[in-house]
Amino acid sequence: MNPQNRQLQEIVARAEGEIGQAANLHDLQLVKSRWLGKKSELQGLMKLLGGLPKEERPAFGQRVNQAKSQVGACVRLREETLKEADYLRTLEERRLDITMPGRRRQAGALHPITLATRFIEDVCISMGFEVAEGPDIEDEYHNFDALNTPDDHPARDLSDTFYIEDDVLLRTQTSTVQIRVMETHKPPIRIIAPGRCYRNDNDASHSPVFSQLEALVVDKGVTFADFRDTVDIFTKRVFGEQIESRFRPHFFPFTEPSAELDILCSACKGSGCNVCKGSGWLELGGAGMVDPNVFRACGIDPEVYSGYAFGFGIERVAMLLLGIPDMRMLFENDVRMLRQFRSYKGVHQGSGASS
Amino acid sequence: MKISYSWLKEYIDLALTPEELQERLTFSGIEVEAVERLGEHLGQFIAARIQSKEPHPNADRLSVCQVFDGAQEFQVVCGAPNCAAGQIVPLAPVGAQLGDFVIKKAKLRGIESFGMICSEKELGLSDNQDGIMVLPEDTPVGQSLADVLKLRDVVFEVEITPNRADLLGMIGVARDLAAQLGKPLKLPEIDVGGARVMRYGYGRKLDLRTADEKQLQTIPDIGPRRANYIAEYRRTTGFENPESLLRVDKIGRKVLAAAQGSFLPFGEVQEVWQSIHEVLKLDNRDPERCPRYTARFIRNVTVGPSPEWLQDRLRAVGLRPINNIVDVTNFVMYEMGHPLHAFDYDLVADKTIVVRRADEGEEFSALDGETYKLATDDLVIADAQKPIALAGVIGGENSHITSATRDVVIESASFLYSGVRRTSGRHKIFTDSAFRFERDMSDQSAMLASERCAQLLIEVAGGTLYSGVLDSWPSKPQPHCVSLRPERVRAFLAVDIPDRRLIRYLEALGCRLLSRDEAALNFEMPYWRKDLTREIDLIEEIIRLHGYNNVPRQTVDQEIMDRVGFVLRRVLADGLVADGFFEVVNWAFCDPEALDWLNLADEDRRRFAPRLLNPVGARFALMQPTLLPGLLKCLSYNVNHGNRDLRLFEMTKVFFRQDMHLAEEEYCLSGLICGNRESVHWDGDPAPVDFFDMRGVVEGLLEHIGIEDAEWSVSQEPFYMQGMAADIAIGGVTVGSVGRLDTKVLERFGIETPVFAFDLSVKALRQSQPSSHEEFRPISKYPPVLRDISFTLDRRFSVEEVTKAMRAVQPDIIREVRLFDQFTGKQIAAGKRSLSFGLHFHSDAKTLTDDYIDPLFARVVKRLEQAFEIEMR
Repeated sequence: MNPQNRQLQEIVARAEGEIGQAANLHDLQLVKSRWLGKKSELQGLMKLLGGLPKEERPAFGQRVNQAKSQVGACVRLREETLKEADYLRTLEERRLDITMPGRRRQAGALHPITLATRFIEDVCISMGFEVAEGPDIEDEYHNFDALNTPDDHPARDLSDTFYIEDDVLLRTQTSTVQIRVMETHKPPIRIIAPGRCYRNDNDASHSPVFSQLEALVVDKGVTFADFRDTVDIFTKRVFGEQIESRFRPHFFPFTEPSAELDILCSACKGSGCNVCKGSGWLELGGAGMVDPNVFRACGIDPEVYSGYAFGFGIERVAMLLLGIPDMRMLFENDVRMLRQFRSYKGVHQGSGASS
Repeated sequence: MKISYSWLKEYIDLALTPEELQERLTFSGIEVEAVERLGEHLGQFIAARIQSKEPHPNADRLSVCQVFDGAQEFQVVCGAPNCAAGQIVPLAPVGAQLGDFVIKKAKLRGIESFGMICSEKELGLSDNQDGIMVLPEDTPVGQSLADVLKLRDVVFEVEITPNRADLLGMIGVARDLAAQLGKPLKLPEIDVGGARVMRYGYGRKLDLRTADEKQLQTIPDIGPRRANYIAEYRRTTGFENPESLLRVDKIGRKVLAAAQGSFLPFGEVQEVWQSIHEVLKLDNRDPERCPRYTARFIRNVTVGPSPEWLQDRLRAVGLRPINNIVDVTNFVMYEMGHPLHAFDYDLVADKTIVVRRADEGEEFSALDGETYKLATDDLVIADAQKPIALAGVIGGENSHITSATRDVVIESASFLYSGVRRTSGRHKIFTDSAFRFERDMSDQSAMLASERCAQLLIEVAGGTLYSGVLDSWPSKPQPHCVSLRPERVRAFLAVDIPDRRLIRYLEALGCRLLSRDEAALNFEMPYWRKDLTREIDLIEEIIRLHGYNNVPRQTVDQEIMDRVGFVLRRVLADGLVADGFFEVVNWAFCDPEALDWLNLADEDRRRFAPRLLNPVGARFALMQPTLLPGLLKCLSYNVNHGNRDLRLFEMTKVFFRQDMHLAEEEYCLSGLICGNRESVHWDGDPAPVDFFDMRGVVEGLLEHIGIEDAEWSVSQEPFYMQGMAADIAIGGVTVGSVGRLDTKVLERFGIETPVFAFDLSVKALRQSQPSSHEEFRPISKYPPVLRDISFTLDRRFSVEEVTKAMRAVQPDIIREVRLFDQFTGKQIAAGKRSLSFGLHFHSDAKTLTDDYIDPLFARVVKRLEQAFEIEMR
């Protein structure tokens, strides 16, 4: 080995040593200019080139260049190592506590009565019902006469009904909407009428202002069996697959036959608890086949058409679905209660809908 | 499939225009996908005579012709070697369009040319480009080429649904149209040399020499007795012709005249009949895959081009004429729907046709020039040695008709659809034939197609048809019978169609009424309608012919639901919930005193709330005319229970009553906010809510329901603090207000903290909501340019005014003006404020350069200086 070669090897070794020592990218840059810059030893060796015999020049030049690229490669390798280390250090420094809360506006919530109303509306719309509305301030004809409630019926008593004038009152039930729809539309009719009703009554389970939802179906060939099954499907879709329903014979002036509608207690599923007072059943509302007199009052021939109606209080459904113990809480509007019901699922948990 | 209007008219008297026919077809379930008017483009070409032809002075291959179009003489340079003086040729005059190319006056090597003499290819008539097209000598000069070639036709590209194999030919389509239009179907008389004549379709002509007694009774005036006499006479004496009937007992001229049309004519009986059985053998080894195979034999045909009428028919439906034999098979396929194949008899080894499965890997060279390796699942038509066709899919190279062909075997068969489908798919060979067989051709139509083909071949290519037919048809399908209950039809369709009309519809489709009882009509289905198997299939046919759109309307839409209002209320509530609001529900009553607390004037509409005769208590004596008192009560309750940052809303009815029977009821939406903007977050300090928080809530709601151009003005509502409230109007109609509630008002409700309210009429919002969906606006391809502008403005001017003024300078370019800063302080003179806006310049047509924007920006500044006395900062 000739002296120049030994010198070259020695320079490369020293350079590699220093490169390996560079602790950060800045240092590495300095090391790089020392060993590869214009004033570097390797560059200096190139100046010796002119003094060599002509035939040795190419070989020597080549070796110097090799040494340079060897040192260059070493620098690049070190650079990558340092960059990777930098990157990992940055990651470590910037690591977030992802358990901290996000930046957002806290969502509000719909009122439990609205939640229950929407839920029932959506169930009914999926069963082909349209949503109908009528006035809260009604006349006696739509609230009583047309609904086959005679003049001297106790329901007309001032103690039960709010009056504005002799003939003008606050509707006591949403059945008024039945009449208004049948007066203006021909069967087939398939509606629900959610809305506010008013009765002069105020205690733990009664509010003078409350919401009802009433369903009405009128068509040719509507049978008691259709009625029974539709109500059963409805209650199961609202309260859950396992909640059976049953009819108890009852009296309403506007239906014949009339029934009270019970559902299996949604709290104990029928085994008896304090919600259902041990009976296993809860009274939900009223139901029945539309009375022929009601049809006649609306100009619909009861010999051609038949139909059924059922209705119930929405507050009661909201209380059952959400487990609210006292109806008065619904009207206190305490945000500590309201914020408990933020999510609207749209289907009853455990009902037929998948996913 | 293509349907030619003029071809169709052969089978039915069509009084419809092509447009009407298109409509008819579409509404009978034959969807017309495209209409092509043949010859339309040929109208621009003119038959012209070449008066003289001189060589081109500067080009060897070109010649210069003087051409006469009946009115004028043109000079045309032509490059075709076959052009000659005296010829009548198609001339494309200057202005004519050939594909994408318009003929213009041109100079060719220094010589002017006024038009072009065309080849058949250039005219789109054929692939022939060997020189110009030469028209017959007697062609009238000056006539348009469309008239010369009689190529005026309308071709419908139709989609035949896969259940309707019967529609895959002109006759099938004609039959369906005939059934719809109540017109007779005209079927071609098929006469194969007197051996047997048959009519296609409903009603058959009887051969007096072979019909049995039962068949004879279908003839008018012939009952069991006369039928018996005829049979007796035939047995003992025999018939020479129908006239011989006169010799039968009880049959006179009158009966004969009535019966005549029911018989086949007795054709001329040839002296010597050679039978096909002497020249060809058939061995069908797979009757499952080939339920029927028929073959006929014609000796000594003359292969050549088809006559014009035949070529025209094929071209109209998009087929290329090949030679008269192949053309006839294609013609019959398009006429009757049933594919056929013709073999060169000389190339059939051992004069035997074998229907068999291919051997695994057996090679077959098809007509398309490809060689296929067959599988055992492929059915082939073979001779004693080799496959000569892939059954139902494609013919073989080794046996097809050539100009050297003398004797022809006509194959007409039926193949199992699923097998054809597999073979066609496996080898990716998609032919008209495979397309049809895949749709399940009937066995019976094979024989008719064979007869029709034989008849036309003799007519077009001459030759002698050998008597008889090779016919392998081991298991004949039983005709399918379907019972139809007319009452069921009427109940199902709710259309009052009398029985006789039902029968007419179905008979027109080829169904035969066999019998009827009280409840049902029993029909035999025509063999070509394998898709009709159940009563419901017949009901579909009935209503299809009757017209789906001719069913009287029974259900009227009497929308009961107020869907718009229903959805609007849900959207508004959901928007507020997402914005952090809690919904409250109050009793609908109102304390009369609360209206005083709100400072409502005596004449305020809200003073006219309905009053109850028997309220629960004096504080509940009114039906609420505003939601604010109830909301304030809730706010107070919650503040008192330790919740100071509140966002509440209520949406329900409010009531007004003034000289009316019942009352006015409207949905109202009101809300309140108080406390801090956000509940405590680790990344910032809470700040109290202000007017702009509430205004933002309302802006968001309006945007959510598609209202973009609300107008904001200073509100005079008595319960807000002066100068801290706005009325909101849309299109000049006030929809509500937003503002800070007056401290004194709040005190009356027991509230000490600042509260901001909005009060909106849902009824008014609903009326202001755009009635249609937003429409897509194209997104500009060019980049927007943003420029900022800052100036001081006197306080008597509003941001809305200056914003509008800036946009108005050029609204199509200045798309948006957005305030991004307001500054007041020591540097700004009292009574003034400094405002900064971002101006968004955007064009749909070009990239906006500084050269464009600078003068525009200067105009904005000038406008502001003039109108608002601004000082630029």
